Amino acid sequence: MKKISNLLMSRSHIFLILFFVSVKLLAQGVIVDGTVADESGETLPGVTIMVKGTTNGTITDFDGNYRLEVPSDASLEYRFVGFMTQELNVNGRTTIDVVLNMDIKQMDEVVVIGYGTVDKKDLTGAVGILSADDLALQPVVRIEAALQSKLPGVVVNQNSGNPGSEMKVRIRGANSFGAGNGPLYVVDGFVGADIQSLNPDDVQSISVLKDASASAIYGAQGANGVIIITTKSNKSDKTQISVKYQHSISQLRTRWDLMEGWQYMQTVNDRLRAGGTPEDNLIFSRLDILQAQSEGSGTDWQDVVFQTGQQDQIQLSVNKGSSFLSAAAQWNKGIVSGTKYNRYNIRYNYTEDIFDPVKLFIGISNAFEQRENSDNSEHIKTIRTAVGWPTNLPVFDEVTGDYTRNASYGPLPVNPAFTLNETPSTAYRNDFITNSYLEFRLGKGFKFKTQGIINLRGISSTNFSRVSPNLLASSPASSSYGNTNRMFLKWQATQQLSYKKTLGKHAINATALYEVRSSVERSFSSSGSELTTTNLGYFSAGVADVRNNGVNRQNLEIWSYFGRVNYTFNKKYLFTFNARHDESSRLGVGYEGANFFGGAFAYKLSEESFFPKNGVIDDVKLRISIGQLGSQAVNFIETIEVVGYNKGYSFDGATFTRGAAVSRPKNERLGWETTNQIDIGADVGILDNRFNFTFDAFYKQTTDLIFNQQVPAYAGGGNIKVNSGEMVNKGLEFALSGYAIDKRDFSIEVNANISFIRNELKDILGDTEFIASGPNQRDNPDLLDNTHRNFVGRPLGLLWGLVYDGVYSTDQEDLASKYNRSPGDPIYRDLNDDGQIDNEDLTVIGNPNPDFIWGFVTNVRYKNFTLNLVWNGVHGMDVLNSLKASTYGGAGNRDATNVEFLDRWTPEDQNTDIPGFTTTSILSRQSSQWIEDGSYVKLRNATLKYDLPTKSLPWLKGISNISVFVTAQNALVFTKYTGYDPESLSNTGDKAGGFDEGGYPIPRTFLTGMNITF
Amino acid sequence: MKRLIQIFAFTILGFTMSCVDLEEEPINQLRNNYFESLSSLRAAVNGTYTVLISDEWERSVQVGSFRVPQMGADDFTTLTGSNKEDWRQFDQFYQSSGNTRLQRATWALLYDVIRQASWDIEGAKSLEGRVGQELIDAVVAESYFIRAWSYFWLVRTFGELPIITNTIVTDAIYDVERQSIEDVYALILEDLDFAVNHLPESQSAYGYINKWAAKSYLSEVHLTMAGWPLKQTENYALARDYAKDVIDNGGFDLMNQFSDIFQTANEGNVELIWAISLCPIESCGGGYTGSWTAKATKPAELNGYQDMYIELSFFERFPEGARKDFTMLSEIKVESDDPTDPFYIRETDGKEDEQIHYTYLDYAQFTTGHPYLKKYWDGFYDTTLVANDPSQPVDAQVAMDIPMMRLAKVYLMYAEAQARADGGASAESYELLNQIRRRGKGYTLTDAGSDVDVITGSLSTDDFVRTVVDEKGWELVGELNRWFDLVRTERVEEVNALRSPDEPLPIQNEITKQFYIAPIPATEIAINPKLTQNEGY
Repeated sequence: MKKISNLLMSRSHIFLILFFVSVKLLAQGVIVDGTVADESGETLPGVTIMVKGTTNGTITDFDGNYRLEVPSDASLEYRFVGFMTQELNVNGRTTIDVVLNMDIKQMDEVVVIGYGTVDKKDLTGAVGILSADDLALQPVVRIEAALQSKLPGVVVNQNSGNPGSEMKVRIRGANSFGAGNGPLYVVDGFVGADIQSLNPDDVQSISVLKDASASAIYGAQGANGVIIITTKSNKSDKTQISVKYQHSISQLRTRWDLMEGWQYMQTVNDRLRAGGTPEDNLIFSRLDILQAQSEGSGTDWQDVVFQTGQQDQIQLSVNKGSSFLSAAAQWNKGIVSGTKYNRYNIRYNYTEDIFDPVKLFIGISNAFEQRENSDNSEHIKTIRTAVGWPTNLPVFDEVTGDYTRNASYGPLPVNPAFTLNETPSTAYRNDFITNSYLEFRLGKGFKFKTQGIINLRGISSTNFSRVSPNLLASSPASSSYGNTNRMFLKWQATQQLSYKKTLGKHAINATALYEVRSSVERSFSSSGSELTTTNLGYFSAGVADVRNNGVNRQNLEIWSYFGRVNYTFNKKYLFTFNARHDESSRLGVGYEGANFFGGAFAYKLSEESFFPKNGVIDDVKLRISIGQLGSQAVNFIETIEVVGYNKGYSFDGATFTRGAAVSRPKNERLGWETTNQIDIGADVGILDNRFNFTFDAFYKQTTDLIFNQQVPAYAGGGNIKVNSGEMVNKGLEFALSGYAIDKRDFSIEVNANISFIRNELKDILGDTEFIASGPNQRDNPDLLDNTHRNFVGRPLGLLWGLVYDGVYSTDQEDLASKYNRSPGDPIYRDLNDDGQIDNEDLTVIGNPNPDFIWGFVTNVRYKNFTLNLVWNGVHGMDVLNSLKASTYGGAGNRDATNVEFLDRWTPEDQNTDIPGFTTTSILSRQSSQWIEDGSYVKLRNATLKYDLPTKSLPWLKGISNISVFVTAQNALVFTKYTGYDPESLSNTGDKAGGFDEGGYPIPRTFLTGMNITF
Repeated sequence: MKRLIQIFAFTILGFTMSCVDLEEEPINQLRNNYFESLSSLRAAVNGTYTVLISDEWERSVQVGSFRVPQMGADDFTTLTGSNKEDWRQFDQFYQSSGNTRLQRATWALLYDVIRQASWDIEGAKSLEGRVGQELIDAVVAESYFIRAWSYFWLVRTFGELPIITNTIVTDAIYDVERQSIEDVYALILEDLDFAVNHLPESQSAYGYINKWAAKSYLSEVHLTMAGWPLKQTENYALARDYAKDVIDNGGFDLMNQFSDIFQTANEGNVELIWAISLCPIESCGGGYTGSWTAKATKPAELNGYQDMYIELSFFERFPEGARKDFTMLSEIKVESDDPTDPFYIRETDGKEDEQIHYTYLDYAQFTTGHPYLKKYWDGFYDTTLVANDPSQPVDAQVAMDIPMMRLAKVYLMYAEAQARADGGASAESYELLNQIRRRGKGYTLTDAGSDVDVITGSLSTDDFVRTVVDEKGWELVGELNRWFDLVRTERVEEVNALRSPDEPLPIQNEITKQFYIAPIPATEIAINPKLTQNEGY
């Protein structure tokens, strides 16, 4: 009721209509009376009822009743702000009760926040919201993908094109150096839920809590932001059944242009020739090469490694009574041969007022997943060899009939076809969750809710590898198998007491909670090698000569009490205050408990009487929030004393007696990483609130970062984690959304956002100035260093290497010889000018952190057609194309495959920046030669949907809706990057980004589907 | 309705679960508590022994690296090249604080042992009241001994030390300073006293430390405290008394033949008081648990690492006799083309037996030109090994134990301490010295008046002590003793003056007292700058 009067107050034009209709009230024909109510049965006062085509009408009274004299054949129009207009024919009736449906588009959205909901207009924090409608037009395998491009400050990166693989989600940057930076997921109140196998079609809404005030209620786990997902429940009494089927194919979007077999052979010979090998001793004779050329023999290993991917998905959902039921199955085949991902979901949500003051919710869901060959490092290995393996070799050796072995040229890894076919791995995962609560309305504004959640998860994975073709079958050491079985039992119990009351100008909404969460993990793993036979594949495990078993058990517990108070004065001043106390079993004694506070203030400027009501700028809300969050960024094993059983000691000189020893001492000083964040924002409604503009500026500082500190040998040696150091993320976020056009038959909805985030590592440990990260620079074997460095005062994960200055020309022979190089060799800059190229000459060669990112979503609806476009851009990001370096030969790769390499330096053709073969040849080093601009603009999703006009097709009786759709994903990619995709780089870490080792490329996908609702 | 009841019950379950845990303070349940019974303490103490011979590369008492800081004695030298830089630093007196084997195999290893022992001691305290105190003490006394032994080793090697007796890493460990040598000895004596008071006189297997081992070490600790640098000469009497107690009441005896001490078959023999007990690879598997000392002391001709071999002058001074013949490898059997040379028969795989003629090379003809220590080879050499013979066993992890304390050493400690404490050697001390000399020559122990005997009363106290210490040098060569004796008696300069001019590795610095203690590893000072460096490094 109050909500409605608010609406009335804030819409000045309503008064005009009221005035207009009241003076023109005329009496004619029959008298109709009735009540107007909303879907929940609550009566609606102030609803305008007009006789269509006239100016005759009335409004409902305080109880939603109306009375109007009309012609008996009149048509009545019921209008109310926030609701869909309804038209009814009187047909001689004298009593017409009407239920108005809310207009989702214009309705005051209710936003799910931590442990509660709030009207969007009353939000004080920075919260990003997506509804089921926003998700409907973009078919995704994982729910994170639906967040991509949609919300400012939320970066979702698809690191791998493997279906079902995890995505990197960062809310307002990376806070932690040593621990995870992923957000906390909350699904239907289940804190720390795993969204891996969540069915995106079951999702009703997503709220992303970005600032400290919004997420402070999650205290110790909220530092990286919180994503709250609510699944669907049935809201109306109507029975509805819908079925969806979709099918897609996906393909590699770009390819590397590789040498023909004969060109490759010639290049190998050229390398040897330059190294002084006499003509007679070259690997390939002229005849070999000519033959290869004429036969066109050889292999583009990309043809072997990649295939056309495919997906089939079927989804059934039933809404009936208090129940929502959905069942879904999908079968995915990735574009790398052998990669598969299947998932079977079922969900049952039951919501019912079981007796008057008690509401019951039960949610049961199960997801079963099946993956094949999903190991990311295996993909990298395969893709690296796909572009680097000798292109002259066949898949199978003609003589042995087995996979072609490594040759004396080309890179070392094994034949990619072998890796694809003979090292299979499978993983099964079953996730079962029961989630239920009872909510008691206690009266006088009090409500009590008790919620219990149990999650049982089992994971079983196996892998197997036959003897590498490079080895003799009689040396079985390289054959191996592995098996891991893990079981998780998690439970959560939450008790919540809330209070909501309005007294005059004061409105208070308070909640207090107590929550315990527990998780137990048990695992058993077994691995072995030296299988005496591998004929039975994985089942040959029984004959492994070497076997190892591992067991692991972890119990974790966190318990918390916390609360929040929202106070609103005069609908103008909004205050929020959060407080939380957490105790975690992960942390050191004396450090396990921590308190977190957050507060926010919002001021609705537009509620002031002086604010002009001119229909240009309508609502203005200014927000400020500040708060503290934690991250229990440690593996619990870091704090406790770790005792290991060692091999033992022989007291009798003949047998061993096992012993126990401390392998790591207690670490009693490890505490939480603490993140402080301040956010200033504004929400502005423009043009009769057709558009919403949101702005946020934030400053986020994480202190007590966890770093490894070396322990003196006299205290046991090794490394131990300590709290030290500081990281800062700051940024600006802008979002604009609304309807550019909103007509009955034609509408254009837009949603645009842009964010600028800057990260800086402020302090490490003691006097430490930098920490190296990422893998070793395998391309710089003589300069041992890591691929990335993290400097105090700079952003995380800068690329580290030599500066490349082109190729020594024959004119520069003297200069080249100073560095023991010859013309044709790469010029690396001697930064300290000491006459040699060594570790001192390594420097920052790139910054993989983007300058800004943006997203642009449009929904264009024309009659029965809807077009959805999701655009997204990432700008100012450097990528080190290590994959390209490996196609150029050189260290560790030995022979080039890239056709570009045919334009390499030769004494005859020096007009190139590609180094050539010389006696002092070094072809590739980690250097700025491989740094590329990784900026991109993508059309991530383009969906065209057509709703069949079912009402005009009488033969479709009983079917309320049929829609068909076609979608193209990753359809357009604009980038200067020469690799497969600047997004799907192999590395997922924040400290080693922008490094393309050969990640699983994101395919281009074409999808068709159909949705039928009964 | 029935369904609803079930549903309701389920939700209540969530509610009650939280109540239960609230009362039990769930946090504390998760704290690891390893020590629950006497057997867990026993396993922890076993684990402490294990760390002495830990699997980790280069961090074990039985590998050649452990011997690096003792290379300054006159008994061993090493290769001019290869990866022997760390040994050379000490052999040639240009020690550096960056010596990695010094850091890993001595400093880090022994402090790791100390931490494990301290963990056992803390654990034993947590068991108090739950298990019979005598049972606890008897077991944990071994850890007290091992901690004392480790600190004794460290203090003699490095001088002043950080003293750590707990296992928890706190900020305080980064502020630790080195404690005085007296303070370190105070801890050593305290720990050894506990060990003596609680260790049983005999154990179920010879590898366990017994009361007599603790008493023998009390004797050696006091003997050392009486010498350089503390020179608390009142300790000679204590050293004498502890040694006497072991000789009279310990129930140990000298083996009749010197070679019998170093036979795997005789492990745990009556002369042995404490040894690092090793296990054959066939019984206990691979890793570093066998004796790498054998491999460390073997020549390349026999597949050895030749980390160290005998100095020429030491070999020449070494008294001839059965002991020298057993201890030193001075010739190697090699294949010969000369049909007049003796031959042996080697079975070759699937082929007819071959007759291979062989001859002997003198040590001057070895690639290194030096004799080798072979007491740890388990008597293996004489019958089977031929230089560069492909059929000889490659794995040289002979499981010969490394004696740390045996009765012969206690005899000689007693003789020295008695002579110093009483201002002259007694007839008993002469007799104990002579028994060692007789056995060394190959005579029977009781062969009084033999030509190797030192006539009772014929030597001044100083000369007697010198003779005793040198006798220890021959008797205990390779048993990690000589260097500490030379430091204690301030004879490092003197014996190095005897170094043969033919040694390929000359001494590079004038030997001063600076070299009596090793540099503190630089890596430790880098982490904790409050650690001072020893003078001169």
